[in-house]
Amino acid sequence: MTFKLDITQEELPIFQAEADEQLQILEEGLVRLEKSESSPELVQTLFRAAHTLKGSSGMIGHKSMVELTHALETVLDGFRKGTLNLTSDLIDVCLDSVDDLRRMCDEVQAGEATEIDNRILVERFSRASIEAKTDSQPPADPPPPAKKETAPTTAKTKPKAAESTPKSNGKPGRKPKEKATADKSKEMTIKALISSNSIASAARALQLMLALQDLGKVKSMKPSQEEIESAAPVSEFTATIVPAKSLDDIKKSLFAISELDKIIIDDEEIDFSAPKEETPLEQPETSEPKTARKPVGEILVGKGIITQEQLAQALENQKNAGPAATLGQTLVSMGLVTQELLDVAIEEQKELQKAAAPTPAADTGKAQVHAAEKTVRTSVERLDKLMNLVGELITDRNRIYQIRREFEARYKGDPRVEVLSETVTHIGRITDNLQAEVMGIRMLPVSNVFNKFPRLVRDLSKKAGKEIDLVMRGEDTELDRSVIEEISDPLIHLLRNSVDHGIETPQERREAGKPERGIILLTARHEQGRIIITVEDNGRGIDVERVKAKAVERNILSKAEADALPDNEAVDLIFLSGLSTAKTISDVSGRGVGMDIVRNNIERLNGSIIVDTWPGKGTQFQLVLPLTLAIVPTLLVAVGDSTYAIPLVTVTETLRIKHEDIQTVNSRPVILLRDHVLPVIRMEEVFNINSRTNGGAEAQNSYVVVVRSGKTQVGLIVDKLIGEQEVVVKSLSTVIGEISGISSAAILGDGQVTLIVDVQSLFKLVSVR
Amino acid sequence: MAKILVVDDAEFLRVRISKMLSGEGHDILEAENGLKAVETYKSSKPDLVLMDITMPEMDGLSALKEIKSFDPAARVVMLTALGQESVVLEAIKTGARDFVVKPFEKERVLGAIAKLLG
Repeated sequence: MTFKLDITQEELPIFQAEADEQLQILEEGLVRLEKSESSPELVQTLFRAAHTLKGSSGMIGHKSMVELTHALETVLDGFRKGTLNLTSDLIDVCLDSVDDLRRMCDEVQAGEATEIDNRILVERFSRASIEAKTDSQPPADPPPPAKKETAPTTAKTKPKAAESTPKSNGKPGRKPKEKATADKSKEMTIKALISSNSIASAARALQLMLALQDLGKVKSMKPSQEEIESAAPVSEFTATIVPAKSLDDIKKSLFAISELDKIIIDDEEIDFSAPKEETPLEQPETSEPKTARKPVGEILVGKGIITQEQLAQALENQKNAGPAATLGQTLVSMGLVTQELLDVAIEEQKELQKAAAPTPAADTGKAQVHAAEKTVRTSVERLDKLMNLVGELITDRNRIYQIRREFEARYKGDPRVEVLSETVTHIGRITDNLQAEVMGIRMLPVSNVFNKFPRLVRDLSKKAGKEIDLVMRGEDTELDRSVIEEISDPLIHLLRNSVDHGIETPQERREAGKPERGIILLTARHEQGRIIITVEDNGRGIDVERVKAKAVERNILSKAEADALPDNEAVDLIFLSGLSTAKTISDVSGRGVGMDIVRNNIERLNGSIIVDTWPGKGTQFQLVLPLTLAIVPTLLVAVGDSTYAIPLVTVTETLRIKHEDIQTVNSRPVILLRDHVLPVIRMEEVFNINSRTNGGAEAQNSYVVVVRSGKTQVGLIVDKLIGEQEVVVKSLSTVIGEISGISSAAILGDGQVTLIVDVQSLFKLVSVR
Repeated sequence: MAKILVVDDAEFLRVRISKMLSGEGHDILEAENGLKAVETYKSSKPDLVLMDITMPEMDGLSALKEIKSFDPAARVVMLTALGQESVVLEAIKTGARDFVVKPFEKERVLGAIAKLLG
């Protein structure tokens, strides 16, 4: 069942961004709470996050979100006040509710909110709360929700509430002033019915009480002040006062109080809708003048309606009449002006105010609003478009560079060509800057991915019965959001792997003389235009002999091959599919399907993954990733008539060889590189191209581009090296599907389309043969 | 029309209230916590303040106290949520002129404002 939410398309991103943020705060904070990093500040922060979420979800009318956030808030409030113990169970429920809230948010985003059943969770909340109840009652926690107020405190706060009149709490000490109206000797009974919808009806009663204390002397009151301050709901408020103000003033004060269903003064019900008084925005003269507004009094004096003396007298009277009294009303009640004349003066005041130039105060206000507008939200789609446009520009720049070279060669010394050349250089520089800026905007700190891992590791290690701390470094390292999106899954796999296979059980660790708590270290850093991410654990390390045995068992290697394989290469066998060395298979990892997928995903990003292991000490995975996926620095090579682009990240060196240098070992072509055997691949064979090997001295030479994947290297034999060029990646998959050996395409400076070589799949071609 | 300061750490609510009020022709100032609210109040002296209670840096109650001691005539309406009854009592005692419970209807907020602005 879906239901309609009260949210517009424009508001959606704000809601979503904020909800994401609060949920993230909650998730991280809850994990920290459990790790006994609890502090009052942390609990307060979490409480606020739940509270904010509750407010927002209420505003859009999402009932189940409100219920869940309310339950969460209640638990956090319990932690805060010390009425609930921090139990692992309770944290579990809290985290599960965060998951559910996230799902609800996703649905809000998709515009198809369903009634997710939160009853089970709410029930779990109450059960876990009962179990977690502390024995002792709360030590009457100090500031915010102090349940019981003592009378002295109230007395202290009263003068504040009474605002500008220092002694207005209806005590006999109040100076009797000549009031033009209200008969002082007469008592007045005031009854008010507070709306049953009011969530804080006691506060309304308190407002009534304070208002009446301002309006005269309160003889009796029901409920009593003490009862009101116990915060118990109040539906009916009755008081007898000796009024010191006019009936109009009393009505006005009472009407200003919200959520009153009925007001009965001396058995007469007061019509509610009536006196929507046109009282001007006057300030009591006791307060500083707030704006450049001309007081009504001055206008009246200026018009000769009242004298300066009369005005002074009226101001004095008004001061004594309390904050609710306006000068205008005082003048009318003193009989000095008629209501009509007053209205005219008020109209004039408004006109004057409108005409007045912006006051300095208003200016500062504006400045602040402007300051707040210095950042602009924009959609990811627009950034992607921008990046595409920059990509096109780079393609054109490359093209212009090429044309410039031709012109410079052909019209050497022509001043116009020189000017053109300078302009082209400038355009090139601007394009570079533009690219850097756009890339910068698209950069996100890697914490966007990392910050969900503490929770993940917590849940996994709990399930596996292990004690593991996740330590993260370099969370603020930035990388392009296209990469961020792609590395999440591989990293989750690696972390699961460390939890399941890397870190030992507490007992095993104890026996091995290690601390019971294992550590997984997750780091990110920039290095030469690339991102290096490492996942390292201090667990048992990979048993290379078992990996080899497994590979032999699965017919991946022969016994002889396995024995000949050095350990540092044998460990790479874990990236082959169908190889799991775990003795028991857990539900999260260990079916032998994980690591090959991890490597495929990383290599698809033009990245690489390297594993190092130390028996008994731990394992480290290192991921090397490009900064962005949209623009790739490549080495252009020629094979026959075609040009290919090889991603520069994979290239380690280039060599020039003679044909006779190529030898054959095990019927595979190899060359000798610094006394090591390097397998080579003839690109023309891979792509079925006629290489220009037909005669000529030049044909005696070929070039080898040495590329690597992990720790292994392969030489690619090409006809010619053209040079380095940044190319904009154009996906092929939607047009032709996947082609072995090719990852994507790009348009070169001369307009020619080139194919970007998928180095990783070439490695597979070698091993298949 | 009046100058109104909207104080809430939740951007979504702030944006929604601000839009609602500027639609009624009011000038809107915004602050995201109590501390900024007090600063903005002092520099811009708004006619009315709508302020959340639960906020970082400085909560609504403390901000209310500061604003009230700076300007005893300040008109402050608290934005509260279920479960904050005792805080609301405290706020009224401190001089808040009204309170509105979240989630609120547009009419409720506009009504409270109209009552106070007269």
